[in-house]
Amino acid sequence: MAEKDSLELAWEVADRWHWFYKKGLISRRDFLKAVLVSGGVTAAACAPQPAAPSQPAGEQPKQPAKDTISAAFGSDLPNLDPHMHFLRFGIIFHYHVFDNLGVRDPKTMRIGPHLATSWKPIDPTTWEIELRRDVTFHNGDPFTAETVKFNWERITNPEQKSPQRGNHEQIAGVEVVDRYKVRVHTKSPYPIFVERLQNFQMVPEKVIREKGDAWFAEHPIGTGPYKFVEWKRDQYILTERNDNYWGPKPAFRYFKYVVIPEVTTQIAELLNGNIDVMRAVPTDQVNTINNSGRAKVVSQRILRTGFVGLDARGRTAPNPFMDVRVRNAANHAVNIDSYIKSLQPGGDRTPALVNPMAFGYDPAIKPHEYDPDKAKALLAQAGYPQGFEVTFNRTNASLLPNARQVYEAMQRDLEKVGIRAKFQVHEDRAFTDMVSQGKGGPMYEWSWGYYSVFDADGILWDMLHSSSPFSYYQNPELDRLLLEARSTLDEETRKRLYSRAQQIIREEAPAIFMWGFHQLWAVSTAVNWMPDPDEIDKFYTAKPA
Amino acid sequence: MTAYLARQVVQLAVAVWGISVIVFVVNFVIGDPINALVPPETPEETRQLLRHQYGFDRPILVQYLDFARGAIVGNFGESYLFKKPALSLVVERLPATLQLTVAGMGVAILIAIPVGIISAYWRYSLIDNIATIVAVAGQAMPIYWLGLMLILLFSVHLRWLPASGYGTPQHIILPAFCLGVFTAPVAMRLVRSGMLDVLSQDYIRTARAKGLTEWAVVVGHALRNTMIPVITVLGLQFGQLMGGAVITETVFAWPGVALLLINAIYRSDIPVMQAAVIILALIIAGVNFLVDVIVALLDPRVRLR
Repeated sequence: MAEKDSLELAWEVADRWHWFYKKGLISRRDFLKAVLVSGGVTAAACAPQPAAPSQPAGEQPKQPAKDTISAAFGSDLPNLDPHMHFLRFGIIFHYHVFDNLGVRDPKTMRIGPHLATSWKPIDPTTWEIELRRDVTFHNGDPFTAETVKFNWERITNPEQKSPQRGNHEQIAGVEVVDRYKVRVHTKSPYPIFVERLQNFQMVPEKVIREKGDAWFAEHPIGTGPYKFVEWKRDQYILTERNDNYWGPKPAFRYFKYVVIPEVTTQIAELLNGNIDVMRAVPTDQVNTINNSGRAKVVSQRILRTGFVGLDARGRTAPNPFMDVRVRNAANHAVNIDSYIKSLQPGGDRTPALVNPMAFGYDPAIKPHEYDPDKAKALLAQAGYPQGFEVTFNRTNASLLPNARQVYEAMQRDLEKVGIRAKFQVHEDRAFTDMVSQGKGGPMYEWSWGYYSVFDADGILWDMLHSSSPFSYYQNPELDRLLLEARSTLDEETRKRLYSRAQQIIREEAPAIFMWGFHQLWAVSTAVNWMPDPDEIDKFYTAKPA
Repeated sequence: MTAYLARQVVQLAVAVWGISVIVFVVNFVIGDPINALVPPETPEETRQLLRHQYGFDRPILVQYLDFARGAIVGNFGESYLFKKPALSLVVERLPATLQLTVAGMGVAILIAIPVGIISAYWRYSLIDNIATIVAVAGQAMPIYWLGLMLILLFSVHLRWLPASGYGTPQHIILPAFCLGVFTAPVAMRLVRSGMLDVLSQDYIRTARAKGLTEWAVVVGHALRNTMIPVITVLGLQFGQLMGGAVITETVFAWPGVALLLINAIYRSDIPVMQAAVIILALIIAGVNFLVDVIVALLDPRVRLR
């Protein structure tokens, strides 16, 4: 803005009105009114605006170094018991107050030691886990093998009604070997056992037994890098650094989970300096944030993978996609690379559904090339030289960035080869029902988050095994490969099986393959922090800039 | 008076019952409630078990009767998400919502009455025309958009007021103003037309003839008679205001019942949805009843029959 003192400006305005008055153009009363109103407005509009970066409104300028990292979330947590929710926001918060047996190494994407120092299978259905010996809960209770046994028993107990029970269904029992060693028995060989060591937070047995679930749900006590301080429902959750933490101690003394439902308000608070991080930045807001000088948008690849499901099995009703040539034609018709380039913050192509970050991904498999002529030829061979009309089911709450634009571009490309897709948009919950009950066909948008399991099994079983409610494809050979791959612990064998499975999937094209999503975060310039691909934001790694 | 009260109570009961049925049925029509309670990856076996534990596998009528039996004595059941009694969750957040609605109403009255009087007194003047345009604009602006614009101006640009949150008096200014501006125009137009009517009546001329000051004539005599329809409408607007509060609370992250309700809807938390909707309905009905009483006090001709 033109750097004029606001008082000076207001004075100038008043002076001008005075001139009108002296010339007799306005009455004295009007003059006074005008001066009051216009002077006030001018002063208001020109009130000093602190230059970036500065202190948030309402705080004292002589505040010491920044000691809090605040992140905005769209909703509050229903409760603070890490076993009694399945929300992404909950996982993030609980990573700060609690610890997991293993955590993902963001460089290798594999699970590394945390509360567990090592693990190994001692037979196909038994895993032995060694634990750290120097860990205590925030209240001083020790963390031991008994704690681990209690946690698995709690989460798998049907009476507990944990929404995460499905994650641990394969666990048959836990046996305490000594104070810091447990054996976990699984119902069958369970290769993704190690993946389940993350996002399974250890809660203290004694506290829960003494005070009960209801108390614990509001007073979480963990072993994590931050200790719970205060929860103002629908406002914020405050935690303070655990100075007795066994691992690296966080740089910020406080971590604050701030509830702001509206994305635009989140951006306003970010630009005001009242929050430091926001998630899922809308693509059209990137420039506003980057140009503000107060925050920067960073992008990170995530595991969630999008695709357009095709009803190859005719589950909903007989349809042209039951012919493999039509499915391949649809894949050749769409210009996936151009959508990623022009409409996405980034994206990793998935030629056979498996995300490149997941175990078992085969880089040798190449995606369908964009070739409308080939698509037309395939359609003609399949008996559709004139193309056909088809319903394309969509949700009103897509997780794909710029979803509408992407699917409209896809619709135009499909139309060019003769596939005339008509959108039908559904309310999200009804849409999930539709798809899981086999009513999603002939084509439907979908994306899958693998429940943060970085393994081909995390998507292929749920999306393509004929027994899954989400599968619109049936192939005995693929079923066999997927079953075999989840029944052995040998990594080389599993890789080989998934490689073969992906070849079949690429040829059979049970979906229009899209990409692994990239997500946008906005981070204050006062903070040094990067999000991880597992979408579990770990603010204990943040440092002041 | 007793008959009047009884009629009101019966009407209220029927309305609340209707609302509870609608909320209950809609929830089942839009999909399996279990989908909102567990991740999509959950095996069917687990879903079955949970369906049974929550009682979703019983006939819908049985489920409704079960719910209704509890609701009559204020027991809406335990929230699926919070694992706490639904009613207490709503009651906890009620003060914030009431604060906001009452403040919004206050802003509306502070705008509507003076502007309405001025518009009527200087009818067709520049100020009247401006007020009319502003009133139309105020009604036409979506409350959501207005809220964001206020944040942009007063919080991001001028940095005078916080954009979101709760606790200090500064926090309530923007949301209350937003809500007030949304409600003021209707009342303001009513004040204006009421004043126009009244100002041309004989007793006003008499009052002037007696030598009363203009202030005494307008505020003392004319305004009182204008207020009757205005208060009735403001009472009706209270319901709208609560509806507006749903959006305002979302935009300004105001921790009231509306935020709770919206999350309950997203997550299919039926007990909380029921408790919130019914409590809000009761409040709106209560306010309307109060308005009837106030009108009777203001206008001796109106008698509660």
